[in-house]
Amino acid sequence: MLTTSIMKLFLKTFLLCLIFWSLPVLGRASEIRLDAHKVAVGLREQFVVDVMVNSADPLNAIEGQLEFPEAKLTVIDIRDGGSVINFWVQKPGLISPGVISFSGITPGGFSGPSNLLFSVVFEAKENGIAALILGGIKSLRNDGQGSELVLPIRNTIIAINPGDSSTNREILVDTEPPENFNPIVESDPNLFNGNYFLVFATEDKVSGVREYRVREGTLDWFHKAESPYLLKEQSLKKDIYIKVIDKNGNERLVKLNAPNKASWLEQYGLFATLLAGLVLGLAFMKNKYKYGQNR
Amino acid sequence: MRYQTKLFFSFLFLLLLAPIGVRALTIEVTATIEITATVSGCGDDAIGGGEQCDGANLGGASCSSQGFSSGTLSCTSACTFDTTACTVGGGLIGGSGSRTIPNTNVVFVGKAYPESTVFLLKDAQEIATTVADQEAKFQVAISNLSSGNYMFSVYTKDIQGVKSLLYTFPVYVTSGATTKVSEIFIPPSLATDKTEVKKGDPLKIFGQTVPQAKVLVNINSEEEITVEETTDNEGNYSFDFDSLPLERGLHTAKAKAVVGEEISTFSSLVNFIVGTQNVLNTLPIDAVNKGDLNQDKKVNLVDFSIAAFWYKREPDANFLRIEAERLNGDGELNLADFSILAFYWTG
Repeated sequence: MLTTSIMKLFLKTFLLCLIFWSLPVLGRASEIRLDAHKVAVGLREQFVVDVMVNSADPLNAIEGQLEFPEAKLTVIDIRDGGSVINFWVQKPGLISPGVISFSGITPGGFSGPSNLLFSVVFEAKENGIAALILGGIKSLRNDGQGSELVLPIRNTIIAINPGDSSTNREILVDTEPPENFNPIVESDPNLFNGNYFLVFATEDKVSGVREYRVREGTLDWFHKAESPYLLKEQSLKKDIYIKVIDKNGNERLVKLNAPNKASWLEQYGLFATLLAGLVLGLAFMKNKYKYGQNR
Repeated sequence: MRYQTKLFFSFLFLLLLAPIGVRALTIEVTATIEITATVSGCGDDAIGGGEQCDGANLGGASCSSQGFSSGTLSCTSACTFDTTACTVGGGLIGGSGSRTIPNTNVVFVGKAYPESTVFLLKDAQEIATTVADQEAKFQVAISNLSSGNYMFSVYTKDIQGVKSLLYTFPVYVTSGATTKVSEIFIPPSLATDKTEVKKGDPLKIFGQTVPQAKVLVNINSEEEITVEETTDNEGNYSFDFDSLPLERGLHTAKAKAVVGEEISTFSSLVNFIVGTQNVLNTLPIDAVNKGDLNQDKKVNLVDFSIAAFWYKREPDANFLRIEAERLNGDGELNLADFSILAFYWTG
């Protein structure tokens, strides 16, 4: 009986210590840390973990990995809406079971407390303690030389308790489309053998960008695309449409006028001729039918 | 054969020949376009994708819609709103008792260099430009944003084309409100006349900031040396620095400006060597070199895309040369190269 009580007390103390260690330490000048929105969850409950950076010195590039026990947790969503990172070299994503990898830059750098890199929505799937660990972190100063600033790491743990809590979902309301952006058509000998390509990037401030789609001309379909995108129409005579869709399905469509706009005749000449032929053909058939009836 | 039948076969014949005819015409038209094609986009008086305005076509926008109280809105050559003739003051509340519902706007007010062009970047992409007045003051506004966190940056170029440091700051934009960001103070420009100075010879250090400002130039040595100068009415400063107290080797200089209570952040670092000879700074002073992978004098999304293409790939000989010249020269594309690109970013 006494042993059980001591064990319970020990476990409680241990858990409290872990929770305390997992909290960000105030006054720490620079660090990368994991901020869990909950310290304990039930089975099948969803919760959010933010990857945050405090830095006294301006940083402009950061990469690393977030590791978690895949037996205990499932990734529901990875959100980069509102991230301090402007361009992802490697968008946060699962590269293997239990490992999320990321790499990105912020032109001009960022500094100060609590800069959000991205958030992960997890769902608990097994009882116990789940430790979330940051590894392979490399953060570089905004000094023009890419010199490294070693950031202390602060990990976190989550207690997963028995009992179904599947009603607790992390639902994000996002009714706004992604930000407007300026796509660019460019050619460079170092890319796609000098052929024309399209570059584009934007952000969605709430849920983050899910995907881009590109259409060349009015008769084409939208194709899923990533920047840089090799253009099919190398004569640049067709308008280019870029659609960006956020994770809640909100869309923004940006049109880039064809740099070498085709003439009306080139675009619609054949179509117009065929249409005229069809109309005349129908007229002829109608007359023939009438003539036949009259006879 | 009846008349109608003849007519039908004539049209059918024409229809079959139509593609050939159109193709022949297309060839002629194509050739004409190559000579006389009008490049659509900025300058065609039509507001296209990514343009705020084009020529006289402001798309119905005005100073008021941009968050200012009055003035005349115009369009820059980059097809972004020019708000230099707009004025702030009086807020957005109407004087006759009617309340104007504001758009989601952000107004930026600060100091650059006298009559310099100020470039405003939203999340690292150029969104507007404006020109500072003779006292180096500028104001620029953007509108129709979503609410959320943004990284805004500003930079300018001095009278000799030397680019300032990219000055970046986070702003949380609230929906339906005008957010005013004031006291932006772009750091001074800084350059030297030599890349190597013979020990004991003078090194000319110069740059530009706000008129009648105090400029503090820090030169790193065993003990940091600080030189204080005052800018002229055009915001220029220049002085000969005696290199004798400096030990031989690589040194750096950085500058900040002080006007009243306001102090800018430090400029970018400028490297120079104290050695045995004088080597003049022969590069064109406005040359954008580092990070400019496609050599268009800009460091932007295109350069990022080129770098991202080669990330974790074996670079070919041509790209290896570029990596050595314009990035960190370690023979591979890694995070350090992206960091250099981010530092020299122009948008």
